[in-house]
Amino acid sequence: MSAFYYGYAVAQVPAGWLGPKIGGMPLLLTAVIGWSAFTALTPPVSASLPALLIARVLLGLFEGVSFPAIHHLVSRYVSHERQSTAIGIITAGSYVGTVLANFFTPLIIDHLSWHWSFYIFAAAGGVWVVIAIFAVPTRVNLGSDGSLRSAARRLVLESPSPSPAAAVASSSSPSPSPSSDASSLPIFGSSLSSQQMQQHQRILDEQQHYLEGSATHSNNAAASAAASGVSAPPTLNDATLVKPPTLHTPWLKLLLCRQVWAIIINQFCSGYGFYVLLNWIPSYYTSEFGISVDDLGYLLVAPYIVQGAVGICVGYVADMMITRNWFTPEQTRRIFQVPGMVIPGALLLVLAYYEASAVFAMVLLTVAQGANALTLAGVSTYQLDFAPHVRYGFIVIVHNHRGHSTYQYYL
Amino acid sequence: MGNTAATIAGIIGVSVTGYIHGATNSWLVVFWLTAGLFLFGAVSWLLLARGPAPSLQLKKNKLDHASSVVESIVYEGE
Repeated sequence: MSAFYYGYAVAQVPAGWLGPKIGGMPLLLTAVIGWSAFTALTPPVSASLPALLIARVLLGLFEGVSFPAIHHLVSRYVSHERQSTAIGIITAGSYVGTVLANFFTPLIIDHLSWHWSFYIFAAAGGVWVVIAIFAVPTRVNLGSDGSLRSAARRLVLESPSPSPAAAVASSSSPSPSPSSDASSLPIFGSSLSSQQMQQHQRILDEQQHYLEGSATHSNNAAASAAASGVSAPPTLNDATLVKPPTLHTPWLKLLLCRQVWAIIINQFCSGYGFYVLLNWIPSYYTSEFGISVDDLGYLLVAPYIVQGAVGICVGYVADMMITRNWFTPEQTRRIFQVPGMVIPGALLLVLAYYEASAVFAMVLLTVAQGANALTLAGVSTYQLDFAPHVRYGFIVIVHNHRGHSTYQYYL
Repeated sequence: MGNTAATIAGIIGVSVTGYIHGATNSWLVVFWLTAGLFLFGAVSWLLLARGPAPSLQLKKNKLDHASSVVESIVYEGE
């Protein structure tokens, strides 16, 4: 079971490094193709334990690539003031995926066989790839250089340390230049991102379509509406070129930086809580309240529905707080991150001492996990504030893995 | 890196929880540990996640500097 996580963990850092090199979209496509293939391969190799373990590790490797790739796309194509929203919605999509997988996997197993749960999820990935290839251009052309020139002009005015001439020379040099990247970004806005988010929703739609026809359509419809509502309609013809610049990652400086440790510690603590709850709460319900595994469905799904809803809203609110100058980005992250950690912590302590009923526990856990989703506008987006464009590949690989963890649970 | 931290936390958390619950046959310690980590995260955030982004990307080369300066200008101008 944990074989998957080893692959997943190992993939993160190289994936973050690869993102800027080969581009987020090719990386994401590779990831989805890879994990779909290994998902489909799992049942045939399941007779042999070593083969199964290898398939699981490779599956984890490919899935581990996906969130860094998505983050890379967000960092590059979403204007700064919408990044919280984008992260919130994308991650909320993965919560919805968790819910759907939790909900449908037992049904598939009951009605077909466990083999089919793998085949169907793999097919959903395949459908996504086809749509992504046809709907999202992976290469776009360079627009006018107006943004680059204005960037250079601003540099001359603003930059204190390098001499103006040097700054102009360096930023207008023909080599792939981060400044052209950064300056074009807010201008061309979020066209690709909206595609990305719609893709993300679309895979859920496809999954759902494959799984059960029109069962919970309203759920996805709402999510899709949210996705399309926040961003401009995709007009990619005049989109910007963003050629991946060559980057150096200052590893040592990053490790000496307190904000990086804040990110690492918070992701660790939050991830610990998330995985413990995900993997052990079913046992908790059965051992404390004597509920059979078959009846757990709604108790387990409710927290993720709330988490998804909070995730969708929270980024939007955070972006608004910043763009309307109510708070600085740093204050905004604090406003979301601290309650996002304190509330789950406090509620778990309540739960430790006060076990009234399974429903009561479920309500507490739902509030706790919903509150934890506030951190999507906290630590998850803080990294985007913190290392604008330059290091994307590296720090910004934080994210959650909610969609697929359910596979583990059912194995 | 943060994601790696979260995943490693998942590997550790799931097995530690299994060990604790197996040894004590109670959920008390499990919840305390998890809650404690959440609260520790909050405190560490208050202490560490403040101040301007350090100049880690600025001095490495001028292009990076350019990018972050431009970024901050455009961002503030919005």
